[in-house]
Amino acid sequence: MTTPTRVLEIGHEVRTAYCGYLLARLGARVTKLVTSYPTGDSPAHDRAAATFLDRGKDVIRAGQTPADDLVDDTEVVIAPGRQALLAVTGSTPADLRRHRPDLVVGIASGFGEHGGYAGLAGGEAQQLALGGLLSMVGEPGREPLRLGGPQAGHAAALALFTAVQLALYRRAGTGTGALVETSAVRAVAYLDWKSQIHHADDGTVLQRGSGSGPVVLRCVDGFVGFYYRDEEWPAVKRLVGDPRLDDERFATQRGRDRHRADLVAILEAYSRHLTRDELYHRAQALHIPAGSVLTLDELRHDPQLTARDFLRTEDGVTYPLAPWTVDGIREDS
Amino acid sequence: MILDRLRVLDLSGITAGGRTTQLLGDFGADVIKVESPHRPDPFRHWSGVTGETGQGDLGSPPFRVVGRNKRGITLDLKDPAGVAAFGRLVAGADLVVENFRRGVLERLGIGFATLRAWNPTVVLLSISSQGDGGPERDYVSFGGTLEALGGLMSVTGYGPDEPVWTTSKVNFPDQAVALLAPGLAVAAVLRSRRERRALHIDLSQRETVISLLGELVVEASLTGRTPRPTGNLAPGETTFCVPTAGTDEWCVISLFTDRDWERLTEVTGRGDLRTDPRFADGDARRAHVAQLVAEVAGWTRERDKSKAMAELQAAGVPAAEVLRGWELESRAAERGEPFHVPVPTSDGGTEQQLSWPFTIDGPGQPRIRRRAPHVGEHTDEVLAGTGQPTTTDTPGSTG
Repeated sequence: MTTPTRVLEIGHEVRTAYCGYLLARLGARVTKLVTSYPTGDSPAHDRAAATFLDRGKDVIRAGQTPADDLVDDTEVVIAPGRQALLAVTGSTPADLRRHRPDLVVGIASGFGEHGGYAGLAGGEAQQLALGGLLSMVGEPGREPLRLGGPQAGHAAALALFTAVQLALYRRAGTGTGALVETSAVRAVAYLDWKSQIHHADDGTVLQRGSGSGPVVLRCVDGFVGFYYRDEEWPAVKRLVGDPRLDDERFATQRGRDRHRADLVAILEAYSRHLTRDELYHRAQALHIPAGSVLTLDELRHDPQLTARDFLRTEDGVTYPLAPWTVDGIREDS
Repeated sequence: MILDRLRVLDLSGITAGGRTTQLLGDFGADVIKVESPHRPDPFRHWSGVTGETGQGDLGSPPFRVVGRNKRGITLDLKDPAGVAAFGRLVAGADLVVENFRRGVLERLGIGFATLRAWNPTVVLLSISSQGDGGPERDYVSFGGTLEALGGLMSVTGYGPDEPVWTTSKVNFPDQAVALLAPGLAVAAVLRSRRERRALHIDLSQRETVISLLGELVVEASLTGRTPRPTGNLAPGETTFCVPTAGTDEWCVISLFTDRDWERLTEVTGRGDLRTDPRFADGDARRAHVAQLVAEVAGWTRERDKSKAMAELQAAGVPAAEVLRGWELESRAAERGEPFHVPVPTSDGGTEQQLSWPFTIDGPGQPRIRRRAPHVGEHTDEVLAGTGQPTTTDTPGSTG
């Protein structure tokens, strides 16, 4: 699904690298121009990130090929900031577009390049904090938690990916390129939109924590995220088969939340004798949207993912393919 | 607007699909939300976040966000007349978005083969739970289910025995998917126009979550070590939240280098910590992060989070106040980077909502054109606009 066909990615930052990764999965030829890059001596997490993010890209060092030639040969340039773009290409977005009015230039900065956050020191955790998401993850009375993986960077990359596609859509009609911009802070804020609208509605301040609704249940071999809604409650009672769940205290979601500890104790009296797999499939058989808490190495042997050929292992390295198919085919080289 | 000439039929319910088509509508697509007259989108009465459903079919605040810039119609897709009316709409559409359980579309008689017969260049975007194939394709999920099955909960938490999910208040997988799916949909539309053929894009939400952990998946296979939750620590950095003045107020600090550590001790007046063997280097600081928080908290508790951040940043220490969603609006306005927009409400007023996650320069800027629709509010208008019989002739429609 080659839209666009040629992309120039500047630098080595998650915000642009994951966007370039997604564009490459669509079939674009992505050239990545870097000034520094992980080597065999780099920490494992740096090497792993490069292995995942740069699969299928041509990675070249700045200076090996004149930047002007690379720009001339591309439809989209993505960079983690104006400074990085200038340092590697010697050009600003305006310079590039003056030279190539049809070019789409995408900037995904960490904190934004305008306003009071521009130039802040920090990384993922600070971007999650300023975007509001950090405050929403974890338990009340304990410190806020970051999500596993570089999710602020990924959020910016997803936003940049969609912005580039919209710019290409307009270009298809007008022939004119665009400057698209996002930041990790802005993209993260977009993810946590429910906090904003509930407060705007009636002043409700959402608090982090799992003190209401679905529960995490302990099983013989780990945990299951036991998601259920009010309408699935009758099925939950059928699944567990414990008459104590007929207690009036558990008749409503509000009651179940109020007596949550007692509820979890009853549910775990059932789940503790089951494996995750057993609870997962039994719950799903009753259309209860539960899911096993799987570790990343367990994913490699997961029947669903295996059937869909989603994870590939080559030379001892396992990596996920594109999370979509086109007409039933995973077009991921 | 940027997405002029893009007509979208939105069959989706709740968040991921609704938020996807909302973004397309914000940038100018003509999005028609198609609901059953008997079972409208349950997001209109969503109690999963606050326990309250709100009053009326626009009472749910999150629905008012994902429904903006859309027109709403009702069609009974279990009735042949409703299916026929839908078919006529598909003939003039570029994109159909759905997130039903697998198989539902086919049972309704509107599977991809039928859509393609109605419109040989239509794009069907299925936002599925676990994809269109495999033994668990029919399983149901919400965001939390996918955080578990996608591995995110196994690497998020205070420790190995305390997996944490983002809960219904965030539902991280839905939100991430809704940032990816609009771009994927537009790319598919461009391709369908170029190749003059219909396309079926199946975006698996579970696989999207795993993709967002791709670096960790690769690392696990390279090292043979299974990643586990480590609180706020991450490879190569000592990151921790410290309490500030107030209740449940925090500042998050990251130490990437020894210089960051030295600056922290300088600005907090704790030069004595530099000779403390518990904090001698990065590894030691990570191993004793709880003690480190206790030492630094003496300084941060004397300041509100905003002041703590300002002083730390002025000293070059990577730090940020931990903001809540409702605090973002004033902060954004203060720094001259607003990203909220007024959206009309059904009582004639307006409410502030988050705008869009990026900017695109040039003509056709995104804007709010209408509030979320009532159930079937535009049925007559939309059906008449395509030369179709209106509610008086179409069984199961409500105007």
